[in-house]
Amino acid sequence: MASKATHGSYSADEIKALLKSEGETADFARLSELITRYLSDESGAAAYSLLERIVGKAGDRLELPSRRLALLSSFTLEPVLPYLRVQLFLAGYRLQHLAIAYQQWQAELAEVGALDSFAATDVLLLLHADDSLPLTATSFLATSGDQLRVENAELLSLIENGLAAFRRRSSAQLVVGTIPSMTAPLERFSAAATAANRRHVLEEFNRQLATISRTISGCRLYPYSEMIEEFGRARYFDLIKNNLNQTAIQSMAYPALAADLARFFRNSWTPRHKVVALDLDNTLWGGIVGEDGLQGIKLGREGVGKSFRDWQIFLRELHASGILLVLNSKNNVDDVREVFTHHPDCVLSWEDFAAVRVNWSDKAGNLRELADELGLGLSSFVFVDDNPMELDRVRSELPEVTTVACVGAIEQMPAKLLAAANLEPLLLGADDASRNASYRAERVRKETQSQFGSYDEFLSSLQLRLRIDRASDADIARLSQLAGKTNQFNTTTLRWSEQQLEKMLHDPAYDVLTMSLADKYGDYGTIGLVVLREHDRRLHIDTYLMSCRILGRKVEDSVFAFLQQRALERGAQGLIGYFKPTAKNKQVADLFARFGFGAAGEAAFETLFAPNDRAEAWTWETQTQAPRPFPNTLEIMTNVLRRRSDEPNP
Amino acid sequence: MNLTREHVHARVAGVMEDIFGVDAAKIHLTTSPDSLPEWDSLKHISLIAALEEEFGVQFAPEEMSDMLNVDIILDVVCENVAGKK
Repeated sequence: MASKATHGSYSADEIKALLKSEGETADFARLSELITRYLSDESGAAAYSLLERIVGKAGDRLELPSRRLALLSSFTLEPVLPYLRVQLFLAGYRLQHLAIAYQQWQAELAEVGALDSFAATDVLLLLHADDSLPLTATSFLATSGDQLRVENAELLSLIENGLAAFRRRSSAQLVVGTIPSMTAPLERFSAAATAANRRHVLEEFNRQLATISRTISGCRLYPYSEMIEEFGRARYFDLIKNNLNQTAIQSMAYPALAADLARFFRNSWTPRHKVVALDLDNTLWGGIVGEDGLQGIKLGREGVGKSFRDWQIFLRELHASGILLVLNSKNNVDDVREVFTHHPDCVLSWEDFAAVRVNWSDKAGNLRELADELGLGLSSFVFVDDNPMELDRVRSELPEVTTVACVGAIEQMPAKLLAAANLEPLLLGADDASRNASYRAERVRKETQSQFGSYDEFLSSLQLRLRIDRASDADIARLSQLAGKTNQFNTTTLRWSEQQLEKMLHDPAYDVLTMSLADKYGDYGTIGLVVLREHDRRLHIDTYLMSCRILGRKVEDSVFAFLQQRALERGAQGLIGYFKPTAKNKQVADLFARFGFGAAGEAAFETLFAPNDRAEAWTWETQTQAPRPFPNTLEIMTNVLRRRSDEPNP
Repeated sequence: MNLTREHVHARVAGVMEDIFGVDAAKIHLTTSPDSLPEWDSLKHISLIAALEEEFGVQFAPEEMSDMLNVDIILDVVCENVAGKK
């Protein structure tokens, strides 16, 4: 029976019957398969209502990780819930929700209330310009420029103040959507030629929204307008129902919105995949190089050859965004090298691959070796192959690897890959940006700099003063308390008792460093702790934590400059940082990478961690890497360092 | 397209079974939000969307707010299906 379903010969009614009979018992893989199968035939409101009940029960039974999402909107967004619940189930999550009545979002963000008692892990704010910027969206030509500016500025400050106020009360992830307009503007034809049109004003508004999202910690911008553009605005909005009961979205658009939101949230909740492992024949080119030869494979400027060439161009983009590419293929390595070095239309080059397994060995074994060679966990791997047997083999042998079948139209592969795996960067990190500087146009680079420049200016205006001092006995109680309750910005969440701290304070192998921060508005007191341990000529960062009250001020930039300088002063060969992932500390997952540390694999060897902690080690070498300069966004004072490397010698 | 009222009733009951999670056999002409606790305002929105999808029609705003028992729903659906041709 199972094989019949796998081969897709069941009717929608038969799948529905299977869902009803197996819904209470099936495992996650089987249920996902049935649901995906059912949705390919039935994607209406009735189907999602039925599935919502099934996944609601199954999510509890399978104990999937649970998220608490609050929906805030300028319209009735609740009808998306069945769709979202089903899509999030497919991504491996259960959803508890709180829907705030439309247009109540300002009050809920600004003041303690329903949002606080709900204890959201995530907050989504979606506004439509027609509700929230009515002059701009509907009366642009009949309204003066001054009035439009006031309307835009008022909404921006409502959003910014609301998010900032809520941020002070909650550590939930805040997701704010760019704001779309529901209808095409009257000046659509003339708009293309001039900036005096509402589309331009909305784009500018959304750029400012982007800036706000970057200045509030744990806040992300969701490209809602782009999602609608992709779907088609005229098909997306339901103007009739919007006037009737504020359900602004066409029912046929909910599956697309829910799938996109589920993907965005999944990508924000899970670490980004790091490696795409690729097969070669019929995956990076058409045909089999061992049989068809260099000239015979399909890779070129037209037809199927262009399909594969475009797919390679996409993979090169992925690589440029910071993803490692590796090869895992059954082939003669000489045939393969020939293609990468001599085929005129092969976009990827041999050097683009961080590691290569071109041999006749088992592909699951190859993947294990590749993970060892790169020092990365298999859960950070995505494996792409056209052969269903190879995919099945890897799935059963290495369930933590995400597999993607390279079948059907090659043109669909980028979309398929991004849907299956977490590969879209939510923010291009400084590291990615600098590594890939050569891929980018000079203009783009300057724009980015000026954006960073203005945020730095904002930070400078705060007159931040950071103290990093060797802790004294008087600090112990406070530091132990901080280590005990800091969950988000905390690299290892090791809880230090007062006795442990006291012992380390008097052990010369340790630097126990306390941080405090003040700005022109006041003194934040003790806000952070670093525990450095010298061992084997390296300084191990056993703990780096900071209070969430002061995030978003780039304090960590100064701390890393400090730590690297400290490593030099102590004559250490380098720093070793540890990241132990927990449900709450995702925000520091890429911390060490951001500051030039290289991944050194799992840190299970460290006695600090248990084998199932999945702790990662990161290294920075004094021999080969220069310390980061101290940023000029804050003033740093310390009784630890003898001098700063960027100051002249006394 | 010539749909009998009985045929429409069966399909409407099937849709309501999916939307409300109740057995189609329990859907009668008099079933309404008052007699069916699952039929809340949010489910009403889903029901309207599902009926529009099932029969390939688009209801007028006044029809949507009238469709508050199965008998009326059958009337409105039959009229729309007949008008569609």
